[in-house]
Amino acid sequence: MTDPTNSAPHHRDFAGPPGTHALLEVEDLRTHFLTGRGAVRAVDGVSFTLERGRTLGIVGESGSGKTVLARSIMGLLPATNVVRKGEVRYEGRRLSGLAPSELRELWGAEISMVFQDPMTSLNPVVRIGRQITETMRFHLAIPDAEARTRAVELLRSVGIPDPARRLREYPHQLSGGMRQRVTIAIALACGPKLLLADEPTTALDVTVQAQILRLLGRQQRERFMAMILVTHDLGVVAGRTDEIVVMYAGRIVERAPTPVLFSDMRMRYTQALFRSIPRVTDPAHRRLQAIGGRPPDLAAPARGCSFAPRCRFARARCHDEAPPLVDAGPGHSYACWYPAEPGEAAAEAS
Amino acid sequence: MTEAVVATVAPAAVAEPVFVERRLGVAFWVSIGWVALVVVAAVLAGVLPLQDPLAIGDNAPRLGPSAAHLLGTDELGRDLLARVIFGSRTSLTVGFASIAFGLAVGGAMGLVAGYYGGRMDAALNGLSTVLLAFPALIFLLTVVTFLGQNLFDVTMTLGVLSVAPIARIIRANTLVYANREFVLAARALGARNRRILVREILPNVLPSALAFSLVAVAVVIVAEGALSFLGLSVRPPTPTWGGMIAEGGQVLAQDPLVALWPSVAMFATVLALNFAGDRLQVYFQVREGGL
Amino acid sequence: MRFLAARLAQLVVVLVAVSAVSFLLLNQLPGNPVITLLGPAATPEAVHQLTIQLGLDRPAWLRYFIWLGNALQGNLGSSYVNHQPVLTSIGQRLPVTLELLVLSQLIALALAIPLGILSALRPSRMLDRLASGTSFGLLSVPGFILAELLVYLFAVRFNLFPATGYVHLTEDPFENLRSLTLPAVTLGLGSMAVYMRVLRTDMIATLQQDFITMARSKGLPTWWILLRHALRPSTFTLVTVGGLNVGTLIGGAFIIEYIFQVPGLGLLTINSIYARDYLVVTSTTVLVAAGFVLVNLLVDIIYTFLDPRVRSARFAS
Repeated sequence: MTDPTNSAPHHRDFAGPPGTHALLEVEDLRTHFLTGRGAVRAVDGVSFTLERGRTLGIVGESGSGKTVLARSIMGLLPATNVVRKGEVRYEGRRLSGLAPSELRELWGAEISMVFQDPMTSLNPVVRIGRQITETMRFHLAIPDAEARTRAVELLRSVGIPDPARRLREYPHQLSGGMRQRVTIAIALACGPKLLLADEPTTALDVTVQAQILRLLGRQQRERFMAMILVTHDLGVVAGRTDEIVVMYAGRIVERAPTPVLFSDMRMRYTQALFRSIPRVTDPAHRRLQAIGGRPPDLAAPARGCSFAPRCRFARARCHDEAPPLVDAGPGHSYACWYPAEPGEAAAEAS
Repeated sequence: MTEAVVATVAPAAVAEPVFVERRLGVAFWVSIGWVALVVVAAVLAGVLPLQDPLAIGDNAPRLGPSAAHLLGTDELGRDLLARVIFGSRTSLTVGFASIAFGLAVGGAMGLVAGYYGGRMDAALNGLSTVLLAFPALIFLLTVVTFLGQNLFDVTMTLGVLSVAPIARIIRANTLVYANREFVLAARALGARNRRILVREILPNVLPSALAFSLVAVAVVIVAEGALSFLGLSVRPPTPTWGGMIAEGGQVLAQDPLVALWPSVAMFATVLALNFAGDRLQVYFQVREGGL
Repeated sequence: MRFLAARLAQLVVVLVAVSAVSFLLLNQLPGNPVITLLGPAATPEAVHQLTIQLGLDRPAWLRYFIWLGNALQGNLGSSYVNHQPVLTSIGQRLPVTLELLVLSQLIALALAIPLGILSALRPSRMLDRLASGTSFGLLSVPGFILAELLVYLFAVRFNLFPATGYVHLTEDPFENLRSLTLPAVTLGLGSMAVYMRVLRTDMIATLQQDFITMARSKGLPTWWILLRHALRPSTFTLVTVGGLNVGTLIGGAFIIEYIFQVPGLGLLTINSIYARDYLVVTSTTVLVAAGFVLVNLLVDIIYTFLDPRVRSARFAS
């Protein structure tokens, strides 16, 4: 975790004494897409570490680079027109240096991903059973019959009724929530140590969202997995993560242990995100507090703070100079020239 | 939630960026150039300094290329270059005229069916299913054999055959536009159906119809080529590309060049038309805005 | 399954319509089979006698209904030329044409599927450019030109395959295949070009889908993803195009049979047209139309097996 005594800008996170590695170490990761308009800097210098059994939330708007970050961590990017810099280490091994066949050994078996829309992430012409058992077949080398038995157990453990029958069904025969449970079952099939959940509830009904999140949390605890929860919704990560990282324009703009973030948020963007969540306790017809403006153009990064054009509190310095990440407390850092006062956010919330 | 969340993640971020050609390209203009060249040569054939395509040479069968005969001569000593150029007349006339007919008739039918829908559309659908099930080749062969082997009959037969497929495609294109907002707007303003058809829909359907008809012309040229290959098109001694290829096929072992020149001419022309039509279709789709 | 019944009804309607049109059309056209048979020097009495003998003195619509009635009982009449029952002729010729068609499609698919997959996997690279360019060229080559080219290369220059002549399957399977090689390849290459382009386009679109990314993220090997995840959804357009291609394919087969003198339906039809042998032409026309409708029906049925979503929708009703 972060070394609180080191307040140099752009400090790196180190896992502790050499010889012991955190499960996942991301170091100055950058992912640029080469398009006709120039290099789109989707991920522009992200660093963090994650221990086994802990949950990290990555929060940001659409276009903040969070999905690309998740895929970059895994290495699941298109082969052409992509520039990747920085390092990702899994159990001490450099993922960036691995050959595709070696990466494939990790994917599914050690690191798994749950995608956003289960209707499009499941193959519509392949039976559910096979979509679960094929991972096991390739990674665990177990016979078909045993794979099927395990698949039934998996489906049961993710809360799907009548699992044996489901094996022979196709995705379109299930409801949205059930499809997402299947996707989770697929991701867990080989017992991965790290689970990346990319907006796992965004495509689902609100009523189903909570169930899926609870399911994810339970599985994560039972299996002692590390989990990264990527979402645009602060509400999703509120009670379910150990640490939260807020992303904007491909960079981390604030990072803190979860309770600290909510009680003591500093960066103005985090504050705006927080304010925009409508609350049940709000008076009726209260205006939604949207963040005005549009997401930044990732092909043309701003000279100063990327959020400045949309920030209420922006001043001249914000447009000219990009703020560095500075410490605010143990494990808490942010990048803002004119942050909120300590305790300001807590007062707002009540 | 914040309105900023509504924007979707740029899909290009995680999939291969797909670049679509916005320009027609050099190859397109080369193709158009070749077709134009062939057309011009066909039109001006009479005044160009060519040998007589029908003149049977004495004692000069199957000569190779020489100063007098740039492409050589065939079995009967006739100049191949002249025959290829004069032969193009048949192919081009049949090709363009029959598709013009098909566009006029089939296009009208397709527009009406696509725009008005309902029973007219259903009737057209049923009719075209039967028409399309009828083996085109047999129809072609039969009619031409019996009707007469002259330019007009061959052209008309192919034109009639092209009506059903063209009508189907124009109908599909019309359907795309018939429900668009600007048509609804025109109707709301009180414009009458016929006016809408002509002023709003037709100009939108025309570009892709044009692109597709280039390919259609290529198809007809091949069909006429097959006919003349079988001896069922315009009668000899009028030179036709297919006829020349058939004659050349008889002497393949002795002199393949006789079959080669008309084959190359036909292949190049068909290829050019196909390519140009294809590029145009892509070009118009892109302007559409990636429907 | 109601949709099956509806399609069969459609088949019947089409067959009746096609046979009627064909019969009546042939009768409207000038050209008299009797005169063709007897020659221009025939005496009026001989012409009259043969006309009555062949039943050609009765009005067209009457002849059509007689024909239809007979046809439904399995009697398709006899050829004017050699008096052989049409049904027998068709029985002899049809298997030959079918063999040619099947061989050509096998060749087409055997080439198109691997090329299509590999081109889609690495679009715009060398293999793709080469395959796509060649396909486009092949599409533009008329069948008879391709036939002559292949004959020149493989029969004239390098004497590998016969230019004409057909050996029956039952006589000598090896020679049978050898004699059909050039015709089948000529036909097949044209189809291959169409199939490869269609498969490539569909495959490229499929490979961009989310479920392929998900399959990758499961650590599955590339060949497995291509064959077990990507191929099936990419074949829908291919199957449709295959069905629509049948008309062109049969037309092409007829001409190929003529060029290579393969004794199939095509050669029979073309010769019969020259000879104004009405009944034969009518029967083959109806047969071809039936084939077209049946193949498209088959295509629809194949969809039910290919796409489980269609299967659910169809069986639900």
